[in-house]
Amino acid sequence: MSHTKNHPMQTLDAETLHRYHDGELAPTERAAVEARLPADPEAQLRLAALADLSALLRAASDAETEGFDAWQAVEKKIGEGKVRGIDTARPVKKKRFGAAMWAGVSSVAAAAAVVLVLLQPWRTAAAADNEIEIGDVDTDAGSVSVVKVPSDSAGTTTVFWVHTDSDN
Amino acid sequence: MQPDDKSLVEQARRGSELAFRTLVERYQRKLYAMALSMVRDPDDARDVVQDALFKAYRHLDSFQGDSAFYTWLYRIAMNLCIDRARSQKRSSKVEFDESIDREDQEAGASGIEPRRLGFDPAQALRDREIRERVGAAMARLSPTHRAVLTLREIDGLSYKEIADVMQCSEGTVMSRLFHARKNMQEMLRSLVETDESRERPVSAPEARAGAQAGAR
Repeated sequence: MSHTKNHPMQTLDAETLHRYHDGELAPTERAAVEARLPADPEAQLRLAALADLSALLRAASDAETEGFDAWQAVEKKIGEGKVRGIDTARPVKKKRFGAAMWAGVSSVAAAAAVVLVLLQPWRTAAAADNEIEIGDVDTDAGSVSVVKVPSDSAGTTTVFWVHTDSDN
Repeated sequence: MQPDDKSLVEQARRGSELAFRTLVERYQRKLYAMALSMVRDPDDARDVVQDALFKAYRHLDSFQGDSAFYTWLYRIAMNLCIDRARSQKRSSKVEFDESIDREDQEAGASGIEPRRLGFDPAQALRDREIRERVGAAMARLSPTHRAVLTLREIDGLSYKEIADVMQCSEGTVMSRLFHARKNMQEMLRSLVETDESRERPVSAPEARAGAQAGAR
């Protein structure tokens, strides 16, 4: 805390002033600050400087963001998602497909995909029924399909297909 | 009366694009302000906001409701900004001027003298040069400092909400905010001092004397 020559009381500390400026003080703390302010010109100056900075930043942001409208582009993405068969109004859920579908997926994805294969020792219910379990994960690199293929051995094989932009 | 976020989210989950559009229009400018502060390029910021909103739409069912919808939305946008900033090759636009922080530390805990800007902020923003210099000052901050400043000053989030968005403690938010504001005040003080077209700005000692006279 600083100590001004003509004011034996210490000026309000910076943390308190910032919290006061941001409305983060409890009601009793706020009242205590407001009671001290009239006798603390340095604190008044600091608060005024904070207020000036806030006003300047808000005005600058208003100027920069005026007229910004994202809806058209977002609506278009939503529409494209529906055309591709992605149910954008529902969560990304696991789907089940038969082996024939797996063959179709593999032929399409093989053209531009990276494959990571993990062997797992346990069998899932889907594997026991000879079905293929698929989940989709949305990442910034693209969408990733997770496919579990029951193998002839006691385990299942998990395949991660990373769909790149070259996929439809 | 405008519906609240919770009911709009529920309607959007049931397939109402109008409900989601209302949410988009409610938060798009604030999201854009945050994205712009992080990535500093209007086109990149626009992409981030559009991607964030679309991602939110696709994953509405995963929104648990344990935080406010807009903090969840901001978190999505923040993560996209971080990813984009990391992949940006144009690092010169986002370099952090560490000398500013070092000077503050050497000056001691009291840091810089507080000082009024000496001009009306709204009027100043009509001056394009001033606007550009404020933007240049923001660009010299680190992305983290820009983000915390924008979330607080522009988006009006509380310390707790900022901590939620930035995945840090409230103490860290306070510290970052304190340093970001100090750095901006320092850079804008030099802006005031070099603007010869304006009246000579009041120095700190003179301002104190004026405040003392005004307070009595």
